[in-house]
Amino acid sequence: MRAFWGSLGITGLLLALVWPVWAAPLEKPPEATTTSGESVALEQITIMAPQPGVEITTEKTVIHIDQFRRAGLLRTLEDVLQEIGGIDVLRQNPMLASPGDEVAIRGLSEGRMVVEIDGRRINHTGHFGRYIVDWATLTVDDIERVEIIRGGHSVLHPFAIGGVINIITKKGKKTKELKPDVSLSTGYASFNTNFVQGSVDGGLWERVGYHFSASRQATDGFLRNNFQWNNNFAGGLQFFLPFDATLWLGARYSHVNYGFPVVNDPALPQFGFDPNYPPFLATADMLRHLPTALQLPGFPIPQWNKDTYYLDAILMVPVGPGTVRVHLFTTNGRRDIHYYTRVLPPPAVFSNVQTRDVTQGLILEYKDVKLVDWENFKNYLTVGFDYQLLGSPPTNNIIYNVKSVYLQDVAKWGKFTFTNGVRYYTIDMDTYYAWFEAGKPAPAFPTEGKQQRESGFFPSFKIDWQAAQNTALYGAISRAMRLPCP
Amino acid sequence: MGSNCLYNIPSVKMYGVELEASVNLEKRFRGLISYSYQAFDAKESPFQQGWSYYLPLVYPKHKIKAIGRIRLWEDGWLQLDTRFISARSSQKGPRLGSYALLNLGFEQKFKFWQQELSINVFGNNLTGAHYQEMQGFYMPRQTFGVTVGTKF
Repeated sequence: MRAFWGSLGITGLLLALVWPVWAAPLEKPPEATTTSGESVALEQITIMAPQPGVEITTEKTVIHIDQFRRAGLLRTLEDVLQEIGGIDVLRQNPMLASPGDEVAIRGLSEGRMVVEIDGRRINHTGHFGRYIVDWATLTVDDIERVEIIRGGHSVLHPFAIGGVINIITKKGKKTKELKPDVSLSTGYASFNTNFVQGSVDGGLWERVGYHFSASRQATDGFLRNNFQWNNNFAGGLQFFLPFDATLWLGARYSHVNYGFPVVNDPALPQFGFDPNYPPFLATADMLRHLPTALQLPGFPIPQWNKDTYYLDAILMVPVGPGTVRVHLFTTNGRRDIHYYTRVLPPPAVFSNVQTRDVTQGLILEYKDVKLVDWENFKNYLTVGFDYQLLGSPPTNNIIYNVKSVYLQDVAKWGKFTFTNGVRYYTIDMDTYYAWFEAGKPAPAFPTEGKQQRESGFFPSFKIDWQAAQNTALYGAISRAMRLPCP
Repeated sequence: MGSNCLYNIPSVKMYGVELEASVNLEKRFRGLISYSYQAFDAKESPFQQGWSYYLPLVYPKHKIKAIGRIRLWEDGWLQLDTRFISARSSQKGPRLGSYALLNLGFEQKFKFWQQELSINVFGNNLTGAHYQEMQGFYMPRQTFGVTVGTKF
């Protein structure tokens, strides 16, 4: 605690030194945008705008990436989340997000929260234990804004016990102006960390909007062998159709080459301690099992190569009092892992493992259906169907078959807003027999071959009270489900 | 709560509080201070072996963050970022001590016709705190960087 007060004191001193030179107005606050083609049911009153580009309401925190600022590199989603209250980010490498990093909302990590791109879930099936979201692949190049819901009270998002992180991507503009907005940037930081990034954003004849971005980033890392480089491409076309309908066709690709930190322990001189690097011991936490064993320096190099492809098609059509949303998506991940499966006792065993994870899905939604729109009472309804197949070809194409339907009603009456909903899941999944189910002595590796079905209703109730113009209180109670890792 | 892929913790209760206060003074300064507390109670599982998978214990109970963003002159902004993280447990190693970080950044924008140029310089962990976010992964003391960008 003493260290904090020391740092706070330095901050205060620096603030005092620059206090007299303020002379011009504050930068513009972020403006609400609807470029992603999303409709808005009930206006949200911003309770706080604590940081540039950040808005907090009782429903969610919204971060507008173009206005967001921090003292440091802003390259990945993790860089943003580190600055947001109620979110914990545990990093292995301070310079770039790594596959083994851990992120949690209010103490619940990726296994119990949902991460989405444009409203569709990107959590993996979690092979090798806890590898669920690859934060290294999520750069900010094509992100318009990030929406964070804390807690599991929104039935519009599946498996959201801890909360939701929803990435809304840039989708171009409806404009007659042919000149695109072009952005280029580059940077260099400690440990040979560098990046270069470019993007174009624009539209053609009010018929087509487009956004394309590309970036490369690399670092030598702080720990021994903890290098990393990433290539990222993202983009797509937004078609503006008759009757105010829109069709977005988007794609993202990410390549990550990540070096696993290797042992650097003066107590193990047989592995070649290098005093130029900090110690790295066999007792280091491996919260995500990447990898599970001690790794050795030199050749062969323990490392991870990951290619991830995301494809999305989103059709939005105003129909009657609401909007129909049809979202088709697929994620295709390929991992090529080179690592030691055993070091002690000798001989060391080095292995190459290739795995794939494929997710395919469909979301059908009739959203923001205006049932009542009086001055003192408004009532909106959203109904939807969510279908996902998650597998690991070629060994098992469908590990999970997830079907769910949901309904959410939002009623605003005076200073009160009532948000009630329910989601019903049916999940067919291939899992394991735990060691105690298989009658083995503890602890033992689980046995494959178990199949099970889970289903049930998961309701949610939330009430908001707008006590004053800038003061709101809310309470929520909900039952939520977690998709277990195989 | 963690990788309890093979068993369920009988019951768990998580609770906490988040406080944030921000201030805009004379429209040239924006400040934020936030505090969060989080804790959990979980029934002991008979299947817990050696390592802990009660992962909320690796997150800090107390976090304090203070951010100040000051306009020094036309399109020139200084950002100060201080955070305190309380002591935490780890999955299979010793308990980690608390730490505090001081980060400093400066951003300057220039406008030429319809082109915007920006330069950012930053220094992180300026007080040289010795810390780990994840047990076993040491973080560097001071780090520095510069970025440049343009929009047109």
